[in-house]
Amino acid sequence: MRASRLGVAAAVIATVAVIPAAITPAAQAERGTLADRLVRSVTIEGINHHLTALQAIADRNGGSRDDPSPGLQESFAYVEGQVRAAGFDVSVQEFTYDRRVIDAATVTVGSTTVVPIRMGGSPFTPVGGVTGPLKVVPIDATTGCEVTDYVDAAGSVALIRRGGCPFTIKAKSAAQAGAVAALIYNNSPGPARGDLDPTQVTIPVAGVSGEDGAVLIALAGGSATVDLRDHDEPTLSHNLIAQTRSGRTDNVIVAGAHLDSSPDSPGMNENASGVSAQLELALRMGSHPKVENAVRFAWWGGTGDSAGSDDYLASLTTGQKLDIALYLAVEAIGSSNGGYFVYDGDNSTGTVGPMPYGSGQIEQAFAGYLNGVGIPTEETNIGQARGEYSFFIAEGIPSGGTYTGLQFLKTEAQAAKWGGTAGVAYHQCYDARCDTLGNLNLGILDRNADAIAHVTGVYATSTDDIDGRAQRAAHRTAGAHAVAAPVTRE
Amino acid sequence: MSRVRSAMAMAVIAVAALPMGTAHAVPQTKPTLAEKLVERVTLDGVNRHLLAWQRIADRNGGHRADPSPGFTKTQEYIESTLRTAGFEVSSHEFTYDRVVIDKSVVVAGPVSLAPNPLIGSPDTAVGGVTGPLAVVPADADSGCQATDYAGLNTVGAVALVKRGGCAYTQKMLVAEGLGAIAVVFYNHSVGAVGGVVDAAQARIPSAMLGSADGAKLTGSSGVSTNVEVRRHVEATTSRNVIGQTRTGRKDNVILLGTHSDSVTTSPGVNDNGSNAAATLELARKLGGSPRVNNAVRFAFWGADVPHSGAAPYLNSLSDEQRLDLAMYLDVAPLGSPNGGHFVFDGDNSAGQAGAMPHGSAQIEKTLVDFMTSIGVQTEPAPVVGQGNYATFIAAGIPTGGPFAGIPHIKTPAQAAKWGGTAGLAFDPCNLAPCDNLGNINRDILSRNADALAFVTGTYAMSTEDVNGIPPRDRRAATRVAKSLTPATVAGENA
Repeated sequence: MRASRLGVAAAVIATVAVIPAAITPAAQAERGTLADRLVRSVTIEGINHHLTALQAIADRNGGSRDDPSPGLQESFAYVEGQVRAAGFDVSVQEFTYDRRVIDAATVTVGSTTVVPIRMGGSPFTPVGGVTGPLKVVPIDATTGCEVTDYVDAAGSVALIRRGGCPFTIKAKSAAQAGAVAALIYNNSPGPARGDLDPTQVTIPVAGVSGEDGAVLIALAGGSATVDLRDHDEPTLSHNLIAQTRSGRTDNVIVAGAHLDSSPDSPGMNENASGVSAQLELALRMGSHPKVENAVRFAWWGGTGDSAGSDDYLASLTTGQKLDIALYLAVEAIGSSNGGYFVYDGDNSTGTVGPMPYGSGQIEQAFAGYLNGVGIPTEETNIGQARGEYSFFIAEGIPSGGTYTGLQFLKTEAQAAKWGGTAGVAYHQCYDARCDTLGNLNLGILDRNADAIAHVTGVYATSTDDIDGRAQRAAHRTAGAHAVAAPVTRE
Repeated sequence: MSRVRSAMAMAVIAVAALPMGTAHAVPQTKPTLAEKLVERVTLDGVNRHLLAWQRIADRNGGHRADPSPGFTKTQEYIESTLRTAGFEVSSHEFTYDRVVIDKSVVVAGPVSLAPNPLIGSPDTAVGGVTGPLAVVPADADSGCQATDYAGLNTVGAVALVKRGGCAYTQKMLVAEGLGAIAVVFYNHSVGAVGGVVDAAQARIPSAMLGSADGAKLTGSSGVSTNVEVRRHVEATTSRNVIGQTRTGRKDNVILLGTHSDSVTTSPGVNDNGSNAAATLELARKLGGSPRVNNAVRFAFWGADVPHSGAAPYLNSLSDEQRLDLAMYLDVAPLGSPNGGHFVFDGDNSAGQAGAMPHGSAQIEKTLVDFMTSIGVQTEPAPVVGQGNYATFIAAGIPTGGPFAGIPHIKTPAQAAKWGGTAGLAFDPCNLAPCDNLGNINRDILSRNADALAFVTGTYAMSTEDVNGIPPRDRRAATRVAKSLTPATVAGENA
């Protein structure tokens, strides 16, 4: 996939270089497309205006905009006010979800306490936690992946460095070695969160940030108490939906961004970046654009664990779901040390499984745009398994988007082609207080916003390449020719 | 569809212009039901159902084969759409013998391939049969005659024969006559593999490979080759979904029938997605209570094509209920990417369809005339590749329908008149994963859906040319005439 894209990009460049005269009229025509007008009108200054507003909202509401909180309510009101003032057809969907409420999340060694994150699928501890001597598993390339990595670990709290194998394997090996709890600390700054296979994991397992990992390593041998308990609480939330008043309503382009931050974070990259880029795109497009297909912008409530898009899709009839031509995910697109990732729509990475027909074309649309402006891209499988995006895939709705990376480390090769710092996470302030305005890479955000503007403009004009629904005028013309000289398509 | 209306409007203008001085006298005639349906059945509307098939397949393991959750979802979608449109919807359950392949391999030296056993051919024992490979030189009719095997050691051999030129049964009999113990066919083009041999004559196992797999064996002449084909039959329950208008005579019913399934290796957006989509959209646009003289019944057959639910359905009807069927319109795949415009050969003009029930020729003519009116040339199709219709023909019910072509190779003459690529199958993705939303020629689909709408609208108003039953207004006029002039019995002939 990637190789062929680059091949195509190279071919285009070669064409431009060799016969520039031939390309000029086409380029001029391109300037007039909706996609190009949107790319021009969606500016980083416009996006930054919304980011500033969302940062201010976090600042005056205890530093975060998580669901439920006054900060989220204000964020919702800000976006709603903007799209209403622009004349969009605005609706608010109320729903209830199970919010995870943490009753206990502590690792205590002597007088030191750090806050871990219980991994999804891990059992709880009893009230008061489990206690054992803190054992640091020796670091290698596959730390704690094999039972033999654990020495004299019976009854201990095992402290394991992230990396080398899935969390579930580490948890199983630690349990087999006799550990009473496993703590997996990040191999980079920032929190470590993850999911386990609940059928295979028998001991409490939590993620610890890279910083806290260093703190705990210094306390090795001390008696550690791990207390991990939480429960689900039914919580009211809202999705904000704004649709253009023009365009066909039975072939709608849906773009979505989750509105909330994580607790204790203003969430500027995750996900004020997506919220703001999408809002600016909506405002620049306007509520009555000259489009073939209506465009629906969604700002999702709920949390990452229980996304509002799930409830939204559940509220639609089969026919209303068929009205959705495709879904564009607008999530985390301004990572400070970020890269240019495009969601793998054709499963060329082999890691996302079969994707709905049309997702491959959406991937090409994003990659084609970015490659066309000289930016190499990589594919990512992030988001396919969980989050807002996954629910559209589960409905068979073609889906795609860009992403600039979160907790993983930038490689040397990536730093060479994209800039930034190798060996450092794409987004160092993931879910942290420091995910502020100062944490954003505005250049990366600008280019991703352009890519989303371009792809939205292209599909608002025609979804022919993914579902055969051509622009009606174009099809009428083609059809008229077809009667005279049958079969114009192959 | 709109462009068709403009074509028709032009035709009207042309007619109006012909008789001098009468142009202003031509009344603004109301469009007929057939014309209205052509207008209302849009490509967009048909495409929406294709989208539904694709999404159902994407959510259910990539296919909609019967039996599978994807097929169940497909039938539920059809039922719900028919109900919403106001039809009287019923379900007809039946049991059929589904063939399950236990093993199907061709092994020649290091090459191991998975052919598709031909329907009607015998199985091998466990372990299969083994003999040297006899590669028949490829030409337009490889293996149709014994001389094609000149110089080959055929006794006890496994014959490798390219598709084309004559029936599989003939090639199989030629090979068997020369002492071959099995026949492996390979396709003459990319596209689906599979076929039928006459079970009564089939005594050696026969299986088929794709063209690419065939090419892996053509250089292996003389190599010891093992063919093992074993299947078993599993009684499987399926159902037909039937929707009928609440209006129109119930003793002179227009029956349309289509499959809506795919095979397990394909989402089946063209086969049988395009035909099911066009039929369903026509039903929606006709509505459950249209102003028609004859009721219209839409049947979405269950089971796979070789075991079509059409036969059990017809068997479930009494003689009187069969007489209530004015005709059967068989809807085969209509959107083949390299397709054309075939019409079932109701008058047996090509000499291959055999004797057809009276009225079939008229159905063919109605379809051909419509296609001609929009500037499209047609060809008679001796078979439309579906198998549903044979049951109706055997029951003496007039039968016809459009078809875009599936496995056969487009000729240069066909490419000249229809466009597309000569030398390539009408649907190269048939039965393959690539039979997806991108595998539809929407211009061809649009025209075929229009033709289906036109023929249905025409016969829903009057089947007089097919079976002599006049439309209601004429019957009423006749009754009035009779009641006014009871003495002149001869008036009945007027």
